[in-house]
Amino acid sequence: MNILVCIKQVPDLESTLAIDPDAKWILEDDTLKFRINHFDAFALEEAIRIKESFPDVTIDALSVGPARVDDVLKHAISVGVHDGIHILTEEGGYMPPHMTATLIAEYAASKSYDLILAGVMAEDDMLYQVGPMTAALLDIPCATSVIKEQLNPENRTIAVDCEMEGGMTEQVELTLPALLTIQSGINHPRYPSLSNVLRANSQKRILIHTDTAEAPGQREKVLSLALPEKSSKGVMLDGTPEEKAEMLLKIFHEKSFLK
Amino acid sequence: MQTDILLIAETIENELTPLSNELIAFARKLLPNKSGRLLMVIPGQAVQQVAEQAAEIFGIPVLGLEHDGLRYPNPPLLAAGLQPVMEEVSPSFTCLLHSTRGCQLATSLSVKNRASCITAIESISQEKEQTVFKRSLFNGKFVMTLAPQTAQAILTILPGAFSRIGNEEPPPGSGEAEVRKIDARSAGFSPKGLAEMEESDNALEEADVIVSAGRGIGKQENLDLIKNAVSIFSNAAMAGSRTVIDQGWLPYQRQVGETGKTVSPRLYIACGISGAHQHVVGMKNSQWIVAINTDPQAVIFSISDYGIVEDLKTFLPILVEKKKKMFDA
Ligand SMILES: Cc1cc2nc3c(=O)[nH]c(=O)nc-3n(C[C@H](O)[C@H](O)[C@H](O)COP(=O)(O)OP(=O)(O)OC[C@H]3O[C@@H](n4cnc5c(N)ncnc54)[C@H](O)[C@@H]3O)c2cc1C
Repeated sequence: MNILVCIKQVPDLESTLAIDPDAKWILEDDTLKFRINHFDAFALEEAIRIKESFPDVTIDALSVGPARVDDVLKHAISVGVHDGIHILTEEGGYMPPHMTATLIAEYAASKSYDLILAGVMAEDDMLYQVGPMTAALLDIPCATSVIKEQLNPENRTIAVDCEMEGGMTEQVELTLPALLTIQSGINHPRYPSLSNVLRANSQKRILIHTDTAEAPGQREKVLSLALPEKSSKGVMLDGTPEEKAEMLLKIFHEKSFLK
Repeated sequence: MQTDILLIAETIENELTPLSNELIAFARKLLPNKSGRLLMVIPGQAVQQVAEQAAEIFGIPVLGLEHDGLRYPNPPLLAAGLQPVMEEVSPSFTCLLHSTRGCQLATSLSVKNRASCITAIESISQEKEQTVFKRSLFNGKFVMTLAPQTAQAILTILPGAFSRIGNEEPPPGSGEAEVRKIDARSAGFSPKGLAEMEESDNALEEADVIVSAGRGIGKQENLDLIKNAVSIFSNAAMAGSRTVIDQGWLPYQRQVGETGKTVSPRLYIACGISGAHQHVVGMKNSQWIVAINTDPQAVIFSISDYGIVEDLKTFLPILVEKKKKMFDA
């Protein structure tokens, strides 16, 4: 059984983010910190749990991006992935989902993965597209927002619970090969041990060079990235923490919220 | 039957989901001069009645697509069933709801028709003769404007962004309903049923004040800080963002947001919550909103009445202490 996990490296959403001079994406300078997309960490953990429950499972992790994404592949190896596959692009910045999905699908089609896992969405572009689009390109069944899975290797199926809006779940059975997008909360992603971090550092990743200029043309054009229109509704309280607490308590008192 | 805008509604057990109305509001914005042709598709197992009602209420033609497998959402089956319709009417815009199933369907329609795909749209405008779409990135810290580059575009619209149909009269009764049985298969995808998550705890519905914890609390022990803050209010309860519920620190019944509860207390205090859309849809109708967050850029501040840039770990204890000094002496 071969599993592929797709992981994306995203900017740390809590660092100070600025718009780049082109106004097409955020500024990716040396001070910007990157990390694994949280939703993909759940996908990665789920793959490792499958490997721990069934014999003869190998997991590859794949990431598309510039040199810096090597870090998330190292992390994937340190928690139990066999090979890290780096589809290297020249630059960071916004990559249209159709291009990412095409690169992943081309690679996956050349191997025979039984199961492909991805996060339900990327925290940076929030598109929800790359997972299901990859499945559509490969023409394999796909389930999204998976919060539970049970693999059945004998009859080559996987039973999943898909989360829907408003507190409902749908149970679906997929035949392999299949792609799942994993929703947060399905498991608790583990941290690697120090020895495994060191081992991962010494293991080589598989580099795949691409020419994004030859990738399929852009189906959507990015015109601009901007700050949202400021809604002037709110007041930011100023002062020392003590002063702010007093102001807030006075407001709470006036509105009789307090005990 | 050339059509400009194809709207794909959602049903569960042959009932239109409430958000399907928003497709109409979106379409009216997309066609400001009202000269274009609209068609709404309603998929389901038996939708004759729903289709007729929708045609009458919305005043547009409706096409019901029936298949036993469409009793519950089944994106691959619907994609297969829709393809002949797409080819027949070749719509410039195909609009779906931005739900998990809607997005899945959108991506497969995009692949099948080599069409551009723009998801989670929040607004539409005209720039230099072209229709452009805006959507949020980075939990709402930025807004991207995109223009489709293909003759056909597949769009998903963010719930709540086009919620009001507007006061204008619906176009007068041009609505005809037609229902077709579709002959399609969803290879390798078999829905087995639907389940509702259990609910037994009404604390959030009953509270006047909700103090809500996000990832910013850092560790489980810090929930005590939230608990202590709850105790200064007269009728308050503790809630959390999905990240806190995912950790198992609070039960699912306390999750606020798209996949949790929708609450509207008199006061909602968001502690260490960034303000992701999926959270905000569940609490934005609270009467008063206060946010405490270390990041001055956090989007939660833009929907708050009062914003406090502080570390909740130091600020909440000060708040609780001051309350004692000022009011309990
Ligand atoms: C299909 C789908 C459905 C979803 N449904 C929901 C849902 O129902 N409800 C929900 O909440 N989310 C939901 N999400 C998840 C959502 O997208 C966000 O990931 C989530 O809401 C983020 O939670 P958060 O604000 O707690 O964490 P983060 O976004 O990580 O934000 C943490 C915040 O804490 C601040 N902070 C850090 N340290 C401190 C400190 N010491 N003091 C003060 N502030 C601090 C940071 O500045 C940051 O703003 C859903 C996602 C998907 C894909």
